[in-house]
Amino acid sequence: MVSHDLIADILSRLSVKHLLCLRSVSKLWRSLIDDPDFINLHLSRSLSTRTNHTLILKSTDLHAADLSSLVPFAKLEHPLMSYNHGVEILGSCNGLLCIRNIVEDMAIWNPSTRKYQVLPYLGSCKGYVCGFGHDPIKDDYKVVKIIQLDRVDADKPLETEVKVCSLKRNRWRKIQDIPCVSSFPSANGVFAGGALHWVLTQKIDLLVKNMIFALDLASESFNEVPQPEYEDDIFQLNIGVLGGCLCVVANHGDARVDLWVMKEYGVKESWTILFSLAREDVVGPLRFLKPLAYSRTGNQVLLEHDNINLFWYDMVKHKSDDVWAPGMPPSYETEICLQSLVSLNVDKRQQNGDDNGDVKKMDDFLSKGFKLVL
Amino acid sequence: MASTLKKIILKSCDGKILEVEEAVAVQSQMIKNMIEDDCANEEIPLPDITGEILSMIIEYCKMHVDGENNSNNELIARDADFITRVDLNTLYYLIVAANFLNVKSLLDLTCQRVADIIKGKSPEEIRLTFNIKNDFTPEEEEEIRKKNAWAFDYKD
Repeated sequence: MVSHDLIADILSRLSVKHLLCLRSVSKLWRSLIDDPDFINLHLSRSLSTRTNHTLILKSTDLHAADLSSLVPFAKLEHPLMSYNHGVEILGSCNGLLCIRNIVEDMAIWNPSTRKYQVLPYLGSCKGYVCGFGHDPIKDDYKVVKIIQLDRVDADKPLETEVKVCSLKRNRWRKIQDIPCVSSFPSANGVFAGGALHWVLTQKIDLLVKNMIFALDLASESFNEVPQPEYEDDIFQLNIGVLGGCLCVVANHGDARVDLWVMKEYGVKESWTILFSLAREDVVGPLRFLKPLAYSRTGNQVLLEHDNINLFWYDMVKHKSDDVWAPGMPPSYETEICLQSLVSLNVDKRQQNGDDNGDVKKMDDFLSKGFKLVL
Repeated sequence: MASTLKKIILKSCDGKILEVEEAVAVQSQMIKNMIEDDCANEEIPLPDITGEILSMIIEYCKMHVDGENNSNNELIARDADFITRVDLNTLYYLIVAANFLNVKSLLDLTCQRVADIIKGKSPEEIRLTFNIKNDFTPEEEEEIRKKNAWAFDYKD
């Protein structure tokens, strides 16, 4: 008899959708597929082989395609009631997405298993940034909201309130705040090295240097992240994540963009320029570049340019190659989501027959709150 | 250090004796450990591996040692040629043996081959192919199907 470990090894090479069917092969297969160790094995194989990655394009609707082929883009139905306003994606981690609709309902959702959990309502507030990531110590997923408080006196330091909601506890609580605001008001936290990162500033002043702050999701404390030794002045600083590593997208005006990667998390000396793009490498002005993912061979990087263009940059041939596929909306935001079995079933509700993932039920429930803004 | 021309003697469960060059034998992490611990000077009995399977594993390891200077694509093509010649029954014994001898690349190749066979198959087809008994009641099976009814097309 082949050992259970070997069966798990074999099954970890299959797609999530197929595995959901294969739960009905036998009791042994079902228990293997539902096992958290198997879910982690499947996840780490997807990460190491760069497979089971979905690229999501968000216009009003969400459109998704497998990263390996990028065709065809199909509409992705999300679980939050949203009429024709769509949802915002606030973060992506291990196959889970954190989404929010226009009335500020938030949910953590696994598009591959179609399960989700709605977060407790926090009420709407004016200026805030969000982030979503994994706490490796508690093996829990956390949503973070940095809310900027109103200032009566402009000379006073900035005040914020930071709130966290974890998947397991499913309630919001306050943690240590940080006297900074986001330099990019709509920028979501970037998850890398067990922490969420934002580009923050202590003063709303273009001359004050932007800093990268990390919120460690295990200790729930803020730290400043050392930045690369830039050779010249940066016009604009953006951050991103590539292959699990924190990146800096350093924009030198319209002339050049350097993509820095922090190979070893937290080590300043490990910052390396992966590649630089000049104006002639892209179509149109060099403004916003977002690194998305490596190709399977690791020789190419997929980048989003200004919400309208996607291209692969070949680091060996130093060539870019535009991506176009049927079903792609004309302009979009991008997100990479793994296809994983990561479960939202933290309190065994599903075992009691109370399935927490029925899209229809949720629509009815949320339509009440939704009517208020119609 | 032992010379690379040193021979390792392996004995299968059906009594077949095979002499293997050390460079080939150390593809097996288990045998490599035995050599390092100086336990490989006499013949090594392999109680669960038949001569036929053992010969195939040695053929595979030899192919990888000889092909060390070949391009990655060439090795992938050779691996594919090797594994597609293997029937399901033999594949089963190869997995068990590759796992026991700890030949990482062969274990990866054989597991991937089984995964490729599973791809696109329905639960019924998989039970037939691998001779797995359905131990669900019809009600239980229906319940699992209903829960993820949307996933039950096997195109990918």
